[in-house]
Amino acid sequence: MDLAQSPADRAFRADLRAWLTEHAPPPMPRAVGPDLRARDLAWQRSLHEAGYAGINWPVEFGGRGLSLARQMIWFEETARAGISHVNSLFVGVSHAGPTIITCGTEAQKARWLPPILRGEAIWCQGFSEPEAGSDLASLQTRAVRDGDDLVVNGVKIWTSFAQVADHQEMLVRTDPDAPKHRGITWLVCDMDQPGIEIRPIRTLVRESHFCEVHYHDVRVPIENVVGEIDDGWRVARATLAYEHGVANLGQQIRLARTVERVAEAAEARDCDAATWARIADARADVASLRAMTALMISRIARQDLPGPEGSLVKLRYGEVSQLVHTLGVDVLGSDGLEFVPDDDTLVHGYLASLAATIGGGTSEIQRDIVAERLLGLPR
Amino acid sequence: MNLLPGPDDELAVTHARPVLDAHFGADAWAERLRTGIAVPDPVVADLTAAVRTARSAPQAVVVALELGRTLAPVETLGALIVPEGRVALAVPRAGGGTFRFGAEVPDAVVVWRSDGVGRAAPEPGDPVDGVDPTTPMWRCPSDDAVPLGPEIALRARAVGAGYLAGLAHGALDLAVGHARTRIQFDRPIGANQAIKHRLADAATRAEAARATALYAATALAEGDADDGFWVAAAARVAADAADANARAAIQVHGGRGYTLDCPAHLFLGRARIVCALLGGVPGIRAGLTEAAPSPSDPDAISGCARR
Ligand SMILES: Cc1cc2nc3c(=O)[nH]c(=O)nc-3n(C[C@H](O)[C@H](O)[C@H](O)COP(=O)(O)OP(=O)(O)OC[C@H]3O[C@@H](n4cnc5c(N)ncnc54)[C@H](O)[C@@H]3O)c2cc1C
Repeated sequence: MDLAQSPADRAFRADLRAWLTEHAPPPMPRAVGPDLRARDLAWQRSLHEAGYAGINWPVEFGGRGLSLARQMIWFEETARAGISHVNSLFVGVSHAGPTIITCGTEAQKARWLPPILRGEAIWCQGFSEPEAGSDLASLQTRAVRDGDDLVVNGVKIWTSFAQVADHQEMLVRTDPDAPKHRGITWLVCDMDQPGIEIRPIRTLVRESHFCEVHYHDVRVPIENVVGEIDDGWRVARATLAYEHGVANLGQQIRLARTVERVAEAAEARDCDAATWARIADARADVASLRAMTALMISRIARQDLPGPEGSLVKLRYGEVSQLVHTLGVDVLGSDGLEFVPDDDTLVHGYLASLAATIGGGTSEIQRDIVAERLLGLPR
Repeated sequence: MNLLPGPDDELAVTHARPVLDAHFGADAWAERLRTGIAVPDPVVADLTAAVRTARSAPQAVVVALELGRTLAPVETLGALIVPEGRVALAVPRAGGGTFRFGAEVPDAVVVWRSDGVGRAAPEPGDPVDGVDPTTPMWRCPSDDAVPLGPEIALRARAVGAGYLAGLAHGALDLAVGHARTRIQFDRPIGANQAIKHRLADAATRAEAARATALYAATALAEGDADDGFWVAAAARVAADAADANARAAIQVHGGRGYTLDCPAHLFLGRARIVCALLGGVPGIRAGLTEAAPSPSDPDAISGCARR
């Protein structure tokens, strides 16, 4: 066992830390719009130029071909520098890209992967629908073959950053008569075409982070299908494995910083022993997330896809995140009543933490996954 | 980075495996609870000798995980702290003296105090009925001990955390086994979401405890500047997991879970004892606060500020 302390790891960490102090990105604009898009793409571009993009992606598609442990160091150091990666780059870098690496053809990899790393394309995820959330496989958005195209009609919802995205990883129903997990297809839909209508939705943290997206006769070429037509559920399982498994790597460092900020606030307010007891527990809980993440990436290094163990980390992350932020606003007392639209504040973090047990598959669904796939309890 | 124990980390586990497989684990304990036959002394001696082969902190914590999972006697942890004969473990009592766990006449005693661990000469004690009916317990008059130093104290706490994390795993396995096979309403009780979700939460706690214990062990072995924090975190997470999972195991067993014949309570009793050795929850929390970064440090991140 080791903790990423090899001389090469240390050097990588030190170089990245030094680079980040000189090249921090500009602050995130409040609104999800052209400014945010430009800022995120510019940031990705500068990461790529410095050799800090796609740490564990294959070299032929612009990545560095390094271990997932190095990728973890990258997440830690960017989080330590206060740089949020949970923005419009997330889908492309953390799950659409990896899905294409795992399931795409060589032509698809060459076409879509390099632009993600070079900061030329933003991706979003069109999986959920108004009537298909936890029961994702019941999705109804239809795609009908017409020559070399699929023609898409339907509605997707909760699509994060749809307003600024170039491409969407999307699940559609291509065979309505097959059993529900069968007739689904995973495709890439370009977002700048006629027939796509994007309606932003306000969230608990005010900004319109996600959208409802309507499709009226949207044409998607067959070559945009990843995997086979009607075999999209298999591809989606890969996407969800990445989303549950490795996508939250860096978040726990952010959470660890938050705990120390709460401790600072508690010190300034002369909080009671009960509060300090909660702070001590929160420190341990956040530490456990880091250790679980390390254990998970150690396992992934031995297999192809993240396994259902990712759900253990996701479950605990959701709980600990809400616990830490609730503690934070409790410590703030009446100061915690003012909402400041800045994602670095505890109040913002408190409200945002409520999504941690919903987005990417709810905690109830994660518990089902753990019980059935990891513990072998009957379905 | 790699937190999966390799063959070298599993050295002592490999030595202990035959004894553990033959004499420990929930099934062996169920049999023992039914028949009332105690673990024979030579078996404890064999196990102690195997456990004592652990040298590095990872070897010690990895074998402690396995000792907890299989409900090995608590006293075997002593072999990871003071490698001589049969070692009993003791914790000071509020009113003076100690409670001691293990053999009636041990070769040495490790006393777990809030400021570290110490070594004491064995003294005669009065037998006490303990919270765990399978762990011999004695009331002893003195809590004098010669401090063993901060390094051994830290290792002792890491080993205790490992044992607790192992208990959390063993309790989970026992509960899952029952949930798969017990039929009510014409189907296994584990088909119900209330049971599934309780056990998924138990699995999450067990994984958190195991991961943090392995992390702490590795931090100790590497002389990480934050090793004290990691050991304290591992103890806190494992104490919670061991207690909560033992309770989940009892609940999932229904009426059986409340009987002395069902091994579920062994996880609970051992969890209480080892948590007390570590200073109890308040003592563990105090350690977390001491080992944490100063809030005024702009870089402050528990467990990775100084890397
Ligand atoms: C911040 C955020 C960002 C998101 N971004 C995206 C995105 O970019 N792309 C995308 O496709 N989706 C996205 N989502 C959607 C997310 O994946 C869904 O919200 C989630 O899967 C739940 O679906 P639902 O909202 O329809 O709730 P429902 O499925 O209706 O669930 C409602 C409640 O019922 C519970 N429930 C449902 N089924 C069961 C069951 N079998 N057993 C027990 N309990 C059950 C759920 O746990 C939940 O508590 C996002 C969500 C959030 C919060």
